Amino acid sequence: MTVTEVTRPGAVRPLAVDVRNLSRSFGERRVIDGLDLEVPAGQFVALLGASGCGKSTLLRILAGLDHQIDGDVHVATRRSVAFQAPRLLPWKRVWRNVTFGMPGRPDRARAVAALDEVGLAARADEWPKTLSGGEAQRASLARALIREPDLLLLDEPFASLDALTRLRAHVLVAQLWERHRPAVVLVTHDVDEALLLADRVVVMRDGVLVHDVEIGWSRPREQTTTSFARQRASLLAWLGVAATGDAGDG
Amino acid sequence: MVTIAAQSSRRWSPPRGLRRAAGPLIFVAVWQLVCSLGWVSEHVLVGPATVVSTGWDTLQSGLLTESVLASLGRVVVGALIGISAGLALGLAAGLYRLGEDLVDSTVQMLRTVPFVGLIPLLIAWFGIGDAPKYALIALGTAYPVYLNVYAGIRHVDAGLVECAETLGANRRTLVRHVVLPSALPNLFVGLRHSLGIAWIALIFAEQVNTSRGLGWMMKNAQTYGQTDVIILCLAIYALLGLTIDLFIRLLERWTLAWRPTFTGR
Repeated sequence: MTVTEVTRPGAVRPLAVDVRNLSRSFGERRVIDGLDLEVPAGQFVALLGASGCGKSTLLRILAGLDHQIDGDVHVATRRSVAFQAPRLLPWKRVWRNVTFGMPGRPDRARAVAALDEVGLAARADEWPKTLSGGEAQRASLARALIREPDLLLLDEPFASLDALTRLRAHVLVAQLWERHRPAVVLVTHDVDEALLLADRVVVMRDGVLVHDVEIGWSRPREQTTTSFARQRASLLAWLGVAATGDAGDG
Repeated sequence: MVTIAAQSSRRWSPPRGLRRAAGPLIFVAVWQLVCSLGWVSEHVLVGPATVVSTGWDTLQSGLLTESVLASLGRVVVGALIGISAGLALGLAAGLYRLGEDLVDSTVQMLRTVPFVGLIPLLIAWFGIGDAPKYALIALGTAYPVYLNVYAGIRHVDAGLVECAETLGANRRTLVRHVVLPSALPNLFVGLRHSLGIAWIALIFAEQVNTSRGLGWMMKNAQTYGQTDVIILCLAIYALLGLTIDLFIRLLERWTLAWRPTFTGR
């Protein structure tokens, strides 16, 4: 019935997310309806779904922002979120945004180190209003990663970026994940993004997970391979989009 | 076909300060001209030059300084009380449900009473000294600050609050670093509005039972038909109002440097 923040002891691999029979209703509408999800530590999971399927609601529950739920939800204690909008505090310098909410005195050196990882060290002392959309999103990533999370929740963080900036952001997120190895739940409706980044892709529809596939390809990945195209078509079919090519039907 | 011409930034334009000063300067010049040409009787309107010389005379006699200090003192004390009260009530109503339930409907109810209409009551309560004047100015200044602080707190971006929660901010941090800074622009709007009202309240307050101050000087001048003194007092009201507004603007520019704003062209 509640969100408890423990890593399940005794599991073969520690779990970063352990959700059992989760439901969430808005009035009469059951947005999440008896959903189960386990994410082992360090795994990169992409959660695909059409808009309105409940994927963002699930992410908010995992983030601890929504407690009006039925079922059992266990998530790693140390977790951070990057939202679709960067949500930087406009009245704090970039580096103070990065350290915001952390216990103790604001540690500028650490903030600058985190900003350096996303290529923004030079902008540490500026106001957020001077950052471009892509830069603000990178600052938001730095803010999430400086907390050394065991679980990183990404809510369509690339959706509002232009195509070129998005490509660079993909590369950056892949690098950061390789370096820090948190478990990641990436909510997206972009099949290519999911296939480029994730170890595992789950498809959500009508409040439950309807498809769950491991992506074992080595990194960095090519969008041009046949297996990529086949997997892409299959996922699009699961999403209810009429795909070109030999897609399996959901 | 339409030619999109390049806008030259090299075109000379006078500095901003000069452009801002031009309006008032032209106004004063036209005023002086109208009076020098004898278009209006000096019982109706005296020119700026006469006002300046009257100002000099009253300054020499010490009357002007005494009056300005008396009026300024009333505004400062009254506005400080009113702004503090408005701020405290706005914070209580904005930050706490209980505060909102207790404070907001009450303030909204009292707000509909025209505060100037309270002068007789305030005199009955506080006597005829400076106290009823402080009270009137405080009443006039409290509402705009209250309304703006309350609205500012309630209109804080829900996304930022949510984000701050995921970053581990407790309620205290949330209020101090998210809610209050986001309400700051509104506080300034309320402050400027309040100080504008403070001068209006002062004029009303100084019309009754007063033996010092600009309002008293004006009332005397009215009795003796001294148009120049009346206009001098009005000019000083305007100057004092402008000075305080300028001060608030500077404060605003300094504290709100982070804000992306439209600055016009």
